[in-house]
Amino acid sequence: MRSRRKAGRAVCTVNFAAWLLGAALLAGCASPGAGRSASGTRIDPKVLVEASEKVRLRGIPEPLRADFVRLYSEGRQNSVLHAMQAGLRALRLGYGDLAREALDQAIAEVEALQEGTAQARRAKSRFVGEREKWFKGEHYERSALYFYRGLIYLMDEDFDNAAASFKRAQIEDITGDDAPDFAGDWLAAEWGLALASVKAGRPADAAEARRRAGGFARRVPDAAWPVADVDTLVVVEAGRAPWKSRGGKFGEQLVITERASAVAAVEVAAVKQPVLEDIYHQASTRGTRQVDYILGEKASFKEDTGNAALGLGVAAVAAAQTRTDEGAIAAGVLGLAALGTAIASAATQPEADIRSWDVLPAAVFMVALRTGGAALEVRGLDGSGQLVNRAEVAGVGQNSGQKAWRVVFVRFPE
Amino acid sequence: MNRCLCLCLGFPLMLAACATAPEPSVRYVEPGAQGRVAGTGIESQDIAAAAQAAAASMLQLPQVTQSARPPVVIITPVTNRSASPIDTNLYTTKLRGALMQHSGGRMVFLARDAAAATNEREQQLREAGAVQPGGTAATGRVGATYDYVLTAELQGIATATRDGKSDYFLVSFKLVDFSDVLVWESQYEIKKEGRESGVYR
Repeated sequence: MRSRRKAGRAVCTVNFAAWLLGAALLAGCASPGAGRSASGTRIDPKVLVEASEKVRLRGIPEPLRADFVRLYSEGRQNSVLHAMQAGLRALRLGYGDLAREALDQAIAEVEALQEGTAQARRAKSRFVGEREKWFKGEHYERSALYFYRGLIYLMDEDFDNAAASFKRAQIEDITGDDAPDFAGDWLAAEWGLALASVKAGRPADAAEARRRAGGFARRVPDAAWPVADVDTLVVVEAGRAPWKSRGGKFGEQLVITERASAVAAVEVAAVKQPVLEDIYHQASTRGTRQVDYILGEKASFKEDTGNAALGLGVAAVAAAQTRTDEGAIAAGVLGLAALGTAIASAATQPEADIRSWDVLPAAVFMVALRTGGAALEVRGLDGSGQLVNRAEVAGVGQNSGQKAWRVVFVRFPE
Repeated sequence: MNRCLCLCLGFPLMLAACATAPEPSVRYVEPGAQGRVAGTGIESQDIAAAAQAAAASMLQLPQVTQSARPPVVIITPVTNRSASPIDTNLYTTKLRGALMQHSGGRMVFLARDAAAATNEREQQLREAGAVQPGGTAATGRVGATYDYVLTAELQGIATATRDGKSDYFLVSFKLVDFSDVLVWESQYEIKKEGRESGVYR
């Protein structure tokens, strides 16, 4: 009778362990949504109100308000992400000052290597998700950050800093040991550097940029390169950014999916230009990241502890069924061990961070030409040369007081 | 039983050993003092230190020490040929301020960029009789000219690998006289390395 009571307690212990195990397994991470940041952290409603008020007082234009509210309310964990988003949207909409401000903030925070180290250390822990680190973007997003900042310097006729930004875009394009041919291979950055160099009176630097581009794995031999007497830069963006998602058994793998644009070339005033930058190509040629090893180790730990919990649970049940004192003790011990390992498994967070600068385009084209301020038609052509998109760029009057040099942005959504 | 409980609860904790990796860090390498800096890019204190060193060197020049009057120098905007975007206007101002502070009146600096347009406008008002000249001639403003042009150029080599970043900067100062003769040149080097956490690499 006594041993039966003990055996009964052991079975109860195992049942309780199983219940806790189920609860722990069900206790998934909080998902981003209303009132939550891009990394899933709850945002204090008071902070949201303050951010909205700040945006209102600053007179941020309506199309940019949501980005700036996020920028001001989500803290350093996501500020680079929202500064990138806000900066690029502002640039496209013609709010140069806001674009400059936002992208400069993103650059300063990306370059601040010592800041966020505590969060980075936490993100390495098995029980903390990667998304808790301060977002600094993947390598292609950091390169794009400098690339777009370079375009703003071109707008400002600050050709030295434009050249510096394009060089920096290449430096940010690092790769793993398994993708050595793709480091620093942004054709658009070399093209922008060539343009900045010829405008700054340094044709040798432009020639060197073109020579380097000729050695890239992704060759574009028919690209039209800039010359010194151009007065207009047309930047055409087409399609949508590559899509980040999670793969692997536990979502530990970062999967990049292409969202290709239908536009394969653009034509402006009889100058035909192929895709200078394929963002998916850049995003998908990173090779293995160091963080991939960290996430892989977390996933292995999750799987191993899950298997161990199952094994211990089965053993606990088997021990309980012996209906002896020893069996009851063993069942209790095994049940608690199963519970501990199940909790450890459930608490492990190997999921890859998929926060993304998702307003980037799929493809970038740039055409530099001498127009004398004339209106322009920009034609987007598919792979067979058929017209799939077109846009008109207004001319600049001779006596309008506007500068002779102009940079115009055209966006083809698909 | 208590021991068993402790063992069981301690088991997951033992399993949860954190991965260790080198601390992310940024430091001056050679030359320059070590310190906590934000990134590997050039910063205002680097320009200030370079300007201070340049001023000390320039003040030893015979053209300065043996001149009957303090030579007049115009500083051209800093030229950036590095891979690090900088605010060239800010750095030019910083450079001029540092040189002014350390030259002790033994050199005079022109600020044509700051005052020439205002002075031209004032001269027009004086000529029109709208303002009193205050002791100077009512017509024919003669702005000071310079004896030397001081240029500052920033060059650099930047590298990045999966382990971190490295930036080398060379700040070159040139003092050129009105006949285009290079009177003096000095260089100041800065090198920084940065290491980032593995979660960003």
